[in-house]
Amino acid sequence: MNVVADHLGEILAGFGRTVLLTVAGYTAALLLGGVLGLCRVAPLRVLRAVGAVYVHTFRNLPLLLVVVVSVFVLPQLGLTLPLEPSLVVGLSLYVAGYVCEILRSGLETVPVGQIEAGRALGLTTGQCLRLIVLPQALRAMIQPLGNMFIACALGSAVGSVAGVNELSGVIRQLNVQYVEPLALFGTATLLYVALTLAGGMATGALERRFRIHR
Amino acid sequence: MTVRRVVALAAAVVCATSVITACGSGAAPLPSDTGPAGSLLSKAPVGKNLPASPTLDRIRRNGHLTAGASDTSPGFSEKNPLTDDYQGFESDLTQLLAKYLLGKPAVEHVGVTADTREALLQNNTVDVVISTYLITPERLKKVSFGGPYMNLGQALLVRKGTTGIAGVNDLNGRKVITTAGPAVEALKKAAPNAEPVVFQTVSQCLQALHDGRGDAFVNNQAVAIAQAKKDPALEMLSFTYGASMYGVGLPKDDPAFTRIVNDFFTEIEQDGLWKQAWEDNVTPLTKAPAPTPPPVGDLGITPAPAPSASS
Repeated sequence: MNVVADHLGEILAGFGRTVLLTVAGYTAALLLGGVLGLCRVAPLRVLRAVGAVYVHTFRNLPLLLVVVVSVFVLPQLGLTLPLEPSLVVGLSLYVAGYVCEILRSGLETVPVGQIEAGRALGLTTGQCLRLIVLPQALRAMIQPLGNMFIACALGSAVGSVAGVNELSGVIRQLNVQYVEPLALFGTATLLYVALTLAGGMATGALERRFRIHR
Repeated sequence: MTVRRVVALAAAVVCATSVITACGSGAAPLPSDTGPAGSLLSKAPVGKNLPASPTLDRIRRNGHLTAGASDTSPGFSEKNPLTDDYQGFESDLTQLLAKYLLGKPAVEHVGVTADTREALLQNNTVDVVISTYLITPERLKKVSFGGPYMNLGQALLVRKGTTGIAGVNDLNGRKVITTAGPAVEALKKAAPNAEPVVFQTVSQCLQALHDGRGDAFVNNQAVAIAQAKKDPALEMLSFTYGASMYGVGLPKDDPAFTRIVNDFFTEIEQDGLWKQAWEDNVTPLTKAPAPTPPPVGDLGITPAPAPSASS
């Protein structure tokens, strides 16, 4: 275990990068996925098509490919971002497809009759969304969105093959040097579990907070 | 954006999406000969009266040598995507070793990475690992080493016109692009404050260097020389560092097998086959004659403390 003790600073710095990538990637994915999700249920056919094409593209590509494309192809198109932002772009593009579908299915949990009732009362589309649909849909989305946070945290490990020295990259380099896989990968496991568990607990707390007691 | 860049880029993308797809450097054509030249194999010795060894028994039972190898190491061990043959100095040595042990050059390749080599040897998934395997005291605790069969230093490639890197100390505080494995190890030993930027393959590293992801790309001399020759936009710096011994990874609990492998190296070095294998594969890249092979059995290990802040 002394490998871990000797290099704790490095390992924690890597973990810090993992947390940063996760939070940044997830936040961007929520924003993009939210917009796309609204496109998917929009009254305009063009918007629905945009959302559908996006989802079917990015949900059917391996994360590794998306990330490598954002790291190696964007510079060819004259857009060279630093490595961490490139990785965040790849990660959020990938996760946004899932977020979009979660939002769409969340919206579909609200019975159409309620929206019609809202219209009958003279509410605008915006009011219908804000007052009737979203408060119910968001509740249904908390758990799957929590799952996507976990996917994001674990997906950030792809950074280790794209030049970003996050937790799994640091661990792999140390393992190549010291050949102590049990201690090193065990430590990495604990740290990843801590991160995903934090996400899971936050999700649970939100669910309890907004539960409708029927 | 030249055709070469496009090809290299495509190669990088393909590489990244598949562990089993071999990919070259995507640039200059590969040497046309696949596998060792016929003359090399026909001259190769077959071991006589080999001592009893559990690993050797297993190899004979399987009818082939199962070797852990890299498939993206130009000049040393590279899988030709057209023929699926492995080619390079190390893959030639692997075939020679198979012939020495079995009487026929039957090799089954298993892809290994820097992460998996010790584990695959310990659980007998592979019989040997021939994959620019740097001999270190930490690894000797887990596996045994045959050879060493080469001694390589680390060399740096930079974009033409890069200044300010006159010695290895100048790497401290800079981003240095490299692959996981011996290159990153040697870098950490020589310049502890350099920031390694690690990619999966040499071709990805070079693309990253072109994209300005780091100030320099470091790898062993032979690879660096080869890439510098292919790419007019890059130049090689005049110094090398961290010369180290590379050996064949072997199971730890089978000293007889280590002796067999060492006898094999002694033999092929004496009858000139080691030199021929080098000149078939590495010389075309470096345009330099074969070096003198390192003395077999001398692992070049000084009892190394944990890397400290001295270089």
